[in-house]
Amino acid sequence: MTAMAAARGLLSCRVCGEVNRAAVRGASAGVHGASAVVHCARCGSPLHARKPDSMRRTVAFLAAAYVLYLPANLLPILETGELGGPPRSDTIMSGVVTLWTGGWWPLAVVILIASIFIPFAKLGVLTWLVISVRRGSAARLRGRTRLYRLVDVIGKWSMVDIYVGALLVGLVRFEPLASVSPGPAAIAFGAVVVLTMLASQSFDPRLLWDAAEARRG
Amino acid sequence: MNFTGGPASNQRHIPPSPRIRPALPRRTVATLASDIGSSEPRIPALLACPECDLLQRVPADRGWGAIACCRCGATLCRRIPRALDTTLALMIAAAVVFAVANVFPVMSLDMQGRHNEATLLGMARALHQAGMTIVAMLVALTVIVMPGLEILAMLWLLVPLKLGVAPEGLQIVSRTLAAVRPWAMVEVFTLAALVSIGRLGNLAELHLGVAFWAMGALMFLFALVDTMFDEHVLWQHVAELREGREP
Repeated sequence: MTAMAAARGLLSCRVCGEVNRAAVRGASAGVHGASAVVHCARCGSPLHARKPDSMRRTVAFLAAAYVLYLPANLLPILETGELGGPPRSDTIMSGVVTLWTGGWWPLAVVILIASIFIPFAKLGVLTWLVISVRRGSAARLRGRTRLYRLVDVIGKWSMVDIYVGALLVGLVRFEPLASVSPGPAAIAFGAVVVLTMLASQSFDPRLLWDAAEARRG
Repeated sequence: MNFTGGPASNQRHIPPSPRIRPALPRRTVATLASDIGSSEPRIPALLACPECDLLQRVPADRGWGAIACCRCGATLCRRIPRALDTTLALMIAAAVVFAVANVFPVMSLDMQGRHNEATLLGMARALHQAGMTIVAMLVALTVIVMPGLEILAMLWLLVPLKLGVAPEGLQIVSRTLAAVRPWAMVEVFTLAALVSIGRLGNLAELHLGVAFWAMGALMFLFALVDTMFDEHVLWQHVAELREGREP
């Protein structure tokens, strides 16, 4: 026994929340390619039972994020130059270690969580969710939906390292005494953050419930 | 789930709630007329969960706050009295604070008699000059453009409603707002500024600028709006406004 809106021919609007009847509103449908697109009766936004191409888009964004994950972590993200000393370059991880050994351990923990743990957890969780939809898993639906929600919310916090870098580059401009410049990993890391955010935005958690529903029959 | 047809129709003809008229001489009674919507928050009677698609009736007489899906716990809608009025007030404050945050420096650094300060835009410009134009654009978008658009879209929608007219371009602005909100990262920037204090404090003499505090204040204003603003309530009100005018 299902009480899902789509199974009853109802489409909820993602913009205004109005629950529309897919068939009755057919009169206001416009044709995009082969499939007719139904528009919300109240706000006029296009209606979809599920986010369009959700799985394919999520997988594509995830794949791109995986590719950039390695350079983001292995290349230097900040290059610091000081008068009299050799220029040094820091990766994300060596930056964390420097903070830790320098006695700034709370900051080390913040960066460790935001820059290393969160991107890794997002990639892992989203990959797991995509696989579980493909396999038609019906276990721990509530838990998986909550995990998705968590991943969607914490995603933006990975930007901390980018902003810290931007502030340092903007402030420490005392050539030749001291200067900071961004390393190539900044581009890769920024791209990983954006791509994982796009991946979680394009994933539709309702597919988890559809897959379980299909298995139950 | 006991669901019997006509979902879209039964919520569209709710009569406007009667205005309370205390037994006092009219001149001494403050009018409610300038509120956006009735003071009782209106929410749709039937909703589908955005995360698990479960259809559910929303009880009309439960208290205030966010209403959660009974199956997966996602927020369905928010029932907060005067949410749109309060959002408007917070967003006017946010507009002022945002302007301040963009004009003044976030921090400044003194080193051996030399002084250097960074504004939000200056920060992005420094990245651009260092050859990282893409990263500069990402920073400028998430710290300046997206929060600015969020404030602008909110004011665009709420100021006309406050004046009792439906906003122009309602649909496009409302969709832009929904698209922009996840990318405004004021709170993340505030955390990053705190981290930077730690990293720079022992290197040179660091002074916090006005924009540092402004961004902190903006973080709280946005957080407050996030706890009460709900597109469903906005659209519900617009639908009522149109119905009240057109027939």
